[in-house]
Amino acid sequence: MRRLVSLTLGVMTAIGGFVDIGNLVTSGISGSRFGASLTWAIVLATVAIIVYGEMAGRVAAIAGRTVFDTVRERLGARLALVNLAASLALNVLTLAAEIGGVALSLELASGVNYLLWVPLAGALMWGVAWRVSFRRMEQVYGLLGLTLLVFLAALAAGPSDWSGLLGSAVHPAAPPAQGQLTWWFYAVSLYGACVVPYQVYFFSSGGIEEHWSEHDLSEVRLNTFVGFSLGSVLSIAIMWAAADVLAPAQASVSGLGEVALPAAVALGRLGLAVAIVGFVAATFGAGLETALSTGYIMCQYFGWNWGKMMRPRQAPEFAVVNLLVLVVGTALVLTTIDPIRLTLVTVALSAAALPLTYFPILVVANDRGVLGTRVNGPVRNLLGGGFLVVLTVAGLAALPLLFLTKAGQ
Amino acid sequence: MTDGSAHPMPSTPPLRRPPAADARPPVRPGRAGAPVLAGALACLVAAVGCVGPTGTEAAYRDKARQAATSMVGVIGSARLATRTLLAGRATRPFTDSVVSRAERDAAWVRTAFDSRQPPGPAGDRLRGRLDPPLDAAVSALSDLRVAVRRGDRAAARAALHALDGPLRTLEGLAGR
Repeated sequence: MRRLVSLTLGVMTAIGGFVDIGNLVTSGISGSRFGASLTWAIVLATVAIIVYGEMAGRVAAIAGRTVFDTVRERLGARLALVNLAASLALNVLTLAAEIGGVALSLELASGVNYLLWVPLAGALMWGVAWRVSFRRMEQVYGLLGLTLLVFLAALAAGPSDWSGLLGSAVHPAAPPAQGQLTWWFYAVSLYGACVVPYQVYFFSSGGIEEHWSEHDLSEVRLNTFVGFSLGSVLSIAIMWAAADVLAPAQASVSGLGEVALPAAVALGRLGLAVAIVGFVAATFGAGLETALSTGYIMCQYFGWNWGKMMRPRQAPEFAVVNLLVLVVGTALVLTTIDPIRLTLVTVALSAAALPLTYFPILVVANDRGVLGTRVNGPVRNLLGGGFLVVLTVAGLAALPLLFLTKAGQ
Repeated sequence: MTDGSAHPMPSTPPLRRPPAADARPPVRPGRAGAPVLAGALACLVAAVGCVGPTGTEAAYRDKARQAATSMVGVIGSARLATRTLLAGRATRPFTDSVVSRAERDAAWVRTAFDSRQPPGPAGDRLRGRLDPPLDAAVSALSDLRVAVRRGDRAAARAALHALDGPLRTLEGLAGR
């Protein structure tokens, strides 16, 4: 029974943790501008994160190695330092965007300007990372993140144009009124938002913290296969709800409020409240993951003690990095930089950095010296290799598309 | 207990420590780098959001169409949020937030378009056609924000009605 609860909570955690500010914003904008025509990007990215998440979890469970261990080992200390610098910069930007997302969600609930919520959100995040247990933290925000299922309910409750949505999803092409380059920018952004590197850093480090072993492989696989799949269903539901409600009203998305509108239109104030709770949970949880993953990768690179379950005096550098990254992230949002625009830039930059994170995982997952008989089979290698090509193409295209489209304008 | 440098790694060689990592002074991430990062990010966000030159009539027409399209989207969001409020399906703080953002976005669209130099007489004429609905939309959105914040339903309906005219003109200019 205890194992069943653990599995269930693991799956819920994966669902709740999958959706963050990047998914909320890119899914909402894509739906309002392109209908359901970019559903394929989420589906493709979901399969990629399942394939690589399973590999990262397997390496953690069997060899006791985290993703950043493999990055450092396979790329060498110097190239890994480049990766570390890029990951740190991206984590700070992502964390700032997530803090901004929490604050914007609280503005929707209270009407108080989001900038006044930013310090509180940052401080609360630090307090939770400092005091709340790893397991409890995962469970609470994972479960609350499930409230985003309200978008599925909104689709079911509203007079949804299912044939139009399905037709748009299976005929992926930019609508005539929208530019091809912009469509591709959002395709890459959706992809980048779903396979953002901090997720695998957090996932594998969390596995070490929870003492995964070979006996836990089934749980690891269930978390990745079911959790990420259901998480992507949430993203698709947000996109389709935006396509169904916002697009016919010619409404554009420039904040989280517009993303929540379909829930209000279909389900009224209750639906709106549930959607806002989901936004807070998703962005707060993702912020915690980002802050912790920054501590993880810094300590794993420099060989410092690390661990959420360790007391600060046992892992002082880990505690200090977590605190500093939260301070810097909070300060960044307080410069009044628009969190939504920051999100769009960050997911595009994340896409550009993907190959450096995922290539070493594929290499180690094929190393018999590390995994013994648990190395990748031909199907996993075919999928992993194929997605590595896609990740590389997306990575190369991300920056030119970012500048050519002026971040998707 | 988890020790990043010494957790179990069965049948694998120990990880290489970074060269001379112990000899280096401890890194203090974010402390000195925060202003640099903020500056670099501001440049990046500005670079992707800045207004570039429009040297030809065709480019100016394209920018005008983009401005009209953006404003149609902004008006659409504000109208939908307000109608949802008037139908009793949304809260006032929520609608206030959406409409306030729409007002800011609308002002930005107008400012961005007006900052462009029309390349010739055709551009002047186009600007003459686009500016009035942009101005009217910004003004009506301000009225809408005031009405929503006050909870004045009649004024909100009037502001929505005032948006109809500019919206129709902008839809035409956007090619919808």
